[in-house]
Amino acid sequence: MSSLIVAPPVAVSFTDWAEALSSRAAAGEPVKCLLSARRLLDIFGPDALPALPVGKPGQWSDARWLLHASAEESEGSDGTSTWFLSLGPGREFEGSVTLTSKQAESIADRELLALASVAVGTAQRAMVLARRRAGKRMISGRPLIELQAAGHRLARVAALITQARAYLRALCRDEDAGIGAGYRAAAGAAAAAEAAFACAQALVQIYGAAGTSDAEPAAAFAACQAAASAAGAPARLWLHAGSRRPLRPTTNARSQAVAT
Amino acid sequence: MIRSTVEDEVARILDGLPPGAGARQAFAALGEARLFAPHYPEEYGGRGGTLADYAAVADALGDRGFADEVHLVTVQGVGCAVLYFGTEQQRRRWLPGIASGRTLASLLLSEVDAGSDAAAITTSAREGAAGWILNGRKCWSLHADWSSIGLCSARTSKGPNRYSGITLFVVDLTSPGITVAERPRLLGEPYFTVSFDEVAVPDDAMVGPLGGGFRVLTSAAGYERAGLDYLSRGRVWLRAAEETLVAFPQLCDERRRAGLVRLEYGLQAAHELADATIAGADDFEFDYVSSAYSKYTCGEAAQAVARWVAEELLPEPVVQTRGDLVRRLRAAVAEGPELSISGNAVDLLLDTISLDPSLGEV
Repeated sequence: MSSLIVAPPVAVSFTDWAEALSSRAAAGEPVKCLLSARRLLDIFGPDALPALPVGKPGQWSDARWLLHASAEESEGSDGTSTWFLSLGPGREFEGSVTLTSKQAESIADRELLALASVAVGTAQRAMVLARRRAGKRMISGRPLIELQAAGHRLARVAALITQARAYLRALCRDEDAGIGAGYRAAAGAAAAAEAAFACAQALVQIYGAAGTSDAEPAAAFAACQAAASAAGAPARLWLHAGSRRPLRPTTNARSQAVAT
Repeated sequence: MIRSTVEDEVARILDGLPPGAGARQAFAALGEARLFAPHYPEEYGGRGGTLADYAAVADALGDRGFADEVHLVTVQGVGCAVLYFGTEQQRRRWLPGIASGRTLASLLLSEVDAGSDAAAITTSAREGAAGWILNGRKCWSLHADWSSIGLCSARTSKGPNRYSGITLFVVDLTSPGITVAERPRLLGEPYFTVSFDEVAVPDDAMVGPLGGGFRVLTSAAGYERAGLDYLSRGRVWLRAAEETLVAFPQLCDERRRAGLVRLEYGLQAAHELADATIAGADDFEFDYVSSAYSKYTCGEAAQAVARWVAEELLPEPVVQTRGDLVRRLRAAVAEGPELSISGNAVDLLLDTISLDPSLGEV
């Protein structure tokens, strides 16, 4: 049987998992295995541990086994979901777990956080490429980044990425503290996706024609598009978050105070 | 000191104020409990706490609609300049009053032709018989009419470059020759112009080195760059927006609910960055790149709320039937645009972010 390393170790916090996803994406490394492992652990809990073989670093190329491990959902009429663990094509289902709607929603939220972390890391990689190019590409005898329009465009995108990363970190910390991210997970995923889309556009703009013909920027562009789309359209995610967020009547009458 | 302890205590004090209490009453009540400037050393009226304690107080004031910008300028802008660059005599003279919440202060830096360019000032100070004589005019101060002292920048010499030769003075605003004039605005609270006409200040009014005030000044304005005061405005405006949707369910469609959550995201994400900036600060020194991210995102997030209010709520005829809500929503629209120019212009912040070394080599 092929084996793979599940890094970071399965016992670490959700925050560390998200950080690992983000930093792997920022380094241009594949993240599918890590995403799959995270998903299985979220659904099946420690029961999924035997399904996650641990190998040595550098064995990611042998990771196809886990790529085929997936969870399939079956909705019950009572609002519960039963999830089946499949270990790969042609293999028998080896486990199942029945979840309440609330549990399933919570798992879906963590999935959004994981995907958003990947989107942020992917955008970060594109940003580094774009900045490097902007420092080298000469326009009318000056490096492109010295032109305010280009520098500020990159700065605005960098701010989008930084904001999304900071927000996601806070949500992951909440998850680790037992406070579910709830509707905020969809908001974070939407913001991360928008940051990645914006970064993809900026990357090509900064590179010029080379942005779609040179292998490195073209791959980064495609990766941004894919990561930004992985959780669905950002507009739909915002709607989803809005529909779940309860409206709050004012909690502080003094907010109406006039400062005199 | 644990931040949550301060938060709880501050909330108790502010929520226990009598109905209709204003900002100055709130400041004095906090000062009574040594919470107006909790990060000042105990001998100057504080609790020896951390910057995070200070931020918790600022947050609580802003969330309740009190003038947190006055708190910011008094405690952090003027008070910390004295704390870190003043003499022991100056600390003992000014800080207990500031920490008590009863001596409020203004930063007198901006001039008509030197807004964001603090080195372009023309206010001057020349040596007099027993100290210094100040002449000039400082503009765009908020709530200067509340202040009894100000930290004023003045050119004392022509240095080898434009940043040297600037000196800072703590000035008693009741001194002869000083006039504080209101400058009404079409939008928002009035500004004040503070004029100096042959104003005599003693030698010991000088804070920091002679001719070396620019360095002090950039630190004094440093905290402002975290943008926390912008955030509190944004949160107050968002609350007004949400109350409007609660009051008029017919406006509360899925698109507006999505808009609301997007605005909330912006404010919360910016708050995370502001918290990180404050946590990474070393006493009075703030990392300039981190501050730029923080201030930029705080300003953008709060402005987004103001724009949304203008586009999505105020044009609705039904909203006009609730005068109390309209007043608060209009305040957001009036104050929003200023958040991109006060303290530090957005263009300068973006310049700084574009050179962020953590984004890799250029």
